[in-house]
Amino acid sequence: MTFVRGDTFEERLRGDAPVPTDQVLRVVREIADALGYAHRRGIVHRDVKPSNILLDEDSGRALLGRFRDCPRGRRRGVITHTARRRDRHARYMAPEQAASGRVDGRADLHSLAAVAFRSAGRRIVAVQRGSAALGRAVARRSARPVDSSRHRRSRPRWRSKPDDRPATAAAWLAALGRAEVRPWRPWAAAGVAW
Amino acid sequence: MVRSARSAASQFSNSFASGSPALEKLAIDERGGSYPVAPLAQLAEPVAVERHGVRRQPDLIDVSDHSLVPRAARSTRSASLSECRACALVRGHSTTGRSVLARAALARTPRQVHEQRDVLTPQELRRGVGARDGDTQGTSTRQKTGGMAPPSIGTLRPWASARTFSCSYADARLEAVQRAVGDRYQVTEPRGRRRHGCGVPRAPPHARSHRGSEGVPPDVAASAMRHERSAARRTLGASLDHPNIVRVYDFGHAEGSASSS
Repeated sequence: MTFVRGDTFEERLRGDAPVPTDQVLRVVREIADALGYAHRRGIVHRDVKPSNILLDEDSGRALLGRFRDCPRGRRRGVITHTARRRDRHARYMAPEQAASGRVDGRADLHSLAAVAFRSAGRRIVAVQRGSAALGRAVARRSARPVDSSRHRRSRPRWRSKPDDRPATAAAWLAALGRAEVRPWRPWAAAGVAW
Repeated sequence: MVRSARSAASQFSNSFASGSPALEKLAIDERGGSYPVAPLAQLAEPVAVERHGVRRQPDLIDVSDHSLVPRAARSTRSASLSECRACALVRGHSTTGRSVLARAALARTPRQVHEQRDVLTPQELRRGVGARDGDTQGTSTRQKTGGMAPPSIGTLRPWASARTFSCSYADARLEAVQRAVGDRYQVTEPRGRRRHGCGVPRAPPHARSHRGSEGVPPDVAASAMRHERSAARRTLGASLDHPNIVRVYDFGHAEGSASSS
């Protein structure tokens, strides 16, 4: 596999220095482009999260790794192994994926929006432990996604239904571009997901 | 300009006949006395392709068809130019320089550049050139290692950061990774955790670029479900060719354990 020299996006987010906004947007755009490429081939990643995004030091690109084994419509979307072990990974999961329904590319876009949301400095509500409670907690996230008392007015609502989200990565990117036209708000990068 | 080229050619041939000064010195003087002979960006057109809306490898340069010596001299002393190229790039370390340029010469088409994009990075090129051009990285490398030669193939290069992406396993060991990968790759150092590492393929020799490896232990590989899952994951990784997706080049089995590289 490609030898990537650098950090994961998770390590970058956990670092001392905040990630600049333009870098966050660049990473999100590149990953969205990669997801769109995979979705056009009928492949759903199912595990989009910052630790699966690698930042190449040499080229400055963001690379998406660790594809899960889910051609579209072939398997039921189940909670991944890492999500079972660490509930904190499930915070990026789409509600329909947590509810073990069929997933498509929109679940990946939801996860990418959650990544962008967290990259903007916002916390995603922690889910409860246990796979049974996990699905309920993720589904409940659609109504209350942000655990931040300082930004009550800007608290958005997640779009829990896949039909309410952009259908393709290209549409997602277009919506992201429209959000950028306005003055930057921390949740604007992920604004297309709710 | 023509007169300059002719004079350079005659000067080059005379100097070559007399044995001094060195060819690379002449090439350097002809290009204005700077070192390296020319800015790397001017040696050739930057090989970059616009694909999927992403400009990939804008600074990876194909130096295979561009000699560092004057064009007029190239025709007369073509047999000596390869030596001169290597010496001009890595002075005093022609053998290593040849290997560096041999890896650089691999990149010809944009697709090959993309596939072998980790063969020779601009940082490696600058490190190979040395410290005379004000390259601080080359200076530091020279101070640390006592020489400007890039590390030889087969050993781990002394990365400044010495960090790669973290994998989801703990305590990697070189033998375990090598056993999982088999004899297709020469694993130079375990990376990440557990059975992850990086190494160079043994064959073909011209494709000896660093690649990451991920081994699946025998107990995991023995599980039918996990075997199917890992095989599907590798197949997916191998089928996707995108600049922003980690690509799997090959995978195989060795001594009961599977691996992907």
